[in-house]
Amino acid sequence: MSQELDRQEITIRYLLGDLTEEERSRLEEQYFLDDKEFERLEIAEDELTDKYVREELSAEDTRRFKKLLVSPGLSERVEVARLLLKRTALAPQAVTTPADVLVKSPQVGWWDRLFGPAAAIPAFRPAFAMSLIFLLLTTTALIFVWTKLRSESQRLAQEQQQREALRTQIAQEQARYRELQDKFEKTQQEKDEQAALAAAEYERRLAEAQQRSTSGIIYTVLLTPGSGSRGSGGGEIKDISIPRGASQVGLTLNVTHGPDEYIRYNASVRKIDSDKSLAAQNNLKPFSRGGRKYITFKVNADLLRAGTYNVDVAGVTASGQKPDFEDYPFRVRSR
Amino acid sequence: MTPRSLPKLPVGVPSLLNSSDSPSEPPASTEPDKKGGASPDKTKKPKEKWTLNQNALDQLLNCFSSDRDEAAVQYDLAYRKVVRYFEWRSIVRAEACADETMDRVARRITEGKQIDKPMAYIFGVAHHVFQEVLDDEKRAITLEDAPQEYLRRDPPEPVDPDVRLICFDRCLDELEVENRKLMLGYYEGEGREKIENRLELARKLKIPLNALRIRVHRIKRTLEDCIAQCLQTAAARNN
Repeated sequence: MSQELDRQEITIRYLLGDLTEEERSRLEEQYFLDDKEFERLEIAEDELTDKYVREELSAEDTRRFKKLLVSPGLSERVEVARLLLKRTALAPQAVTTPADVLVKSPQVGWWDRLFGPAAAIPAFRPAFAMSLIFLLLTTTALIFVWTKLRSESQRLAQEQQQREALRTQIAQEQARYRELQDKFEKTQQEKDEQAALAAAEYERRLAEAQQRSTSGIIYTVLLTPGSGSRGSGGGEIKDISIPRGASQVGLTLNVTHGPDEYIRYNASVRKIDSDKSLAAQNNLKPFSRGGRKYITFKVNADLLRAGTYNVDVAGVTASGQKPDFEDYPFRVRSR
Repeated sequence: MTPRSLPKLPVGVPSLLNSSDSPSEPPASTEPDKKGGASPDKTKKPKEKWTLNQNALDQLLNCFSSDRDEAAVQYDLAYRKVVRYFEWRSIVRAEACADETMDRVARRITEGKQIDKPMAYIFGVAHHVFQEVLDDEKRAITLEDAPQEYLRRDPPEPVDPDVRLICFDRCLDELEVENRKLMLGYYEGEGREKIENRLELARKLKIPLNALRIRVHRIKRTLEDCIAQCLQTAAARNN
């Protein structure tokens, strides 16, 4: 630090011409060989100059510094330092905007500068004027072309905008069309479904009506087993009278006394004196009612003419065996 | 100082000393000639004036670096050092002396001089030029009993303060915003306030105060170069 201060002191003394010739030469040689040393000297000169313009130097140092001002270069730097001081002393808003030197400095007007006697070389004046006219013409042409291009560009932009608007409109219409089409298809589908349902219902009802018309009346008969075992021949036989118009006879057989192992029953109707089966139905599932078990099946009424008939019933076990179970004889008296 | 980039050819910098062919040029070594002709041989028949040409300039630049851009940077720095050397020694025509110095170096190179350390050699030549200026001044004072102000003859035309102000404002405006703020902030305030400002700036930038000084100095140098260029352009236009 102290060494640095010494160096600064020597530098200041050098600039103020206060060193011996030998010391001077040594320092000069040093800054010729060392760029940093040279910059240090320049900075010291800046500081001295600043102090000088601020009148912060002692009277003796001021006198010595003034000796240096014989050189226009250094004098100019002092003037710059003065301006810098003025500028920093001014409030920021007071700083004037830099202006063109040529506009402010001379008393000669710009027209005279270009074309008047103050122009540099009179011989060049016409050429200069022509150049200026050419420049003006070129500028005018450029402005015209630029304006034309600008209007063309604006027109194109407008067209582009219109095209975009149309494109958007088309897209919207297409979307609307698709939406309507979907809606129409959906409605059509619903209509078809409703029509199909209606047709199905109509067919169902028609079938029912046909069935009703063809099936006629079902005559139901409850049969109990005959007394004794099958083939015994004796026992009570139930008499039934099938009414006219009955198309079917519903036979309901009491199988309450059947063992539990009989999960289904096979039933077959035959004439009492014949082995030929007139109607048969297998795997009849028994149903319960009032604590009793029954099976039921239908026989075409046309098959049952006046006469004695028997319903042979066999049980069906889980293992598939079909042992005989019971006979249910009945007598048809009239039709 | 008007920024002098690479000299335009043919330069033929007018020698205020008329000593471009002086016998006091440095010897073959990079050390300056201590015995050299501090008093020029006035009886010697004047030779034709040597001027800088493309070949000499190329050789001078090659002496700094084989890379052309780097060489140009080094040349500018060397030239600035020479100008400062004369300025800090209170020489009125510092730039003319610097031109003379650089021309002499270039000439010596074209004559076959091998220079290993160009900066040291340039310093030697500059020192000789300075000695010659001193001799001329002494002679003028002795012979003509001229006052001290004689040394300040032919001062450059004063710059119109309005033009300078305009150039200053314009160049200030051309600086990057951050750099402008930094420089104005650096020079703001007086006495203790100024010191506090600078410490605060360094703290904000997280750099040491010395680094801040260097940064501001470089910005200021850019500003000064811009102003010099602007003034030169304005002067050329007004002429």
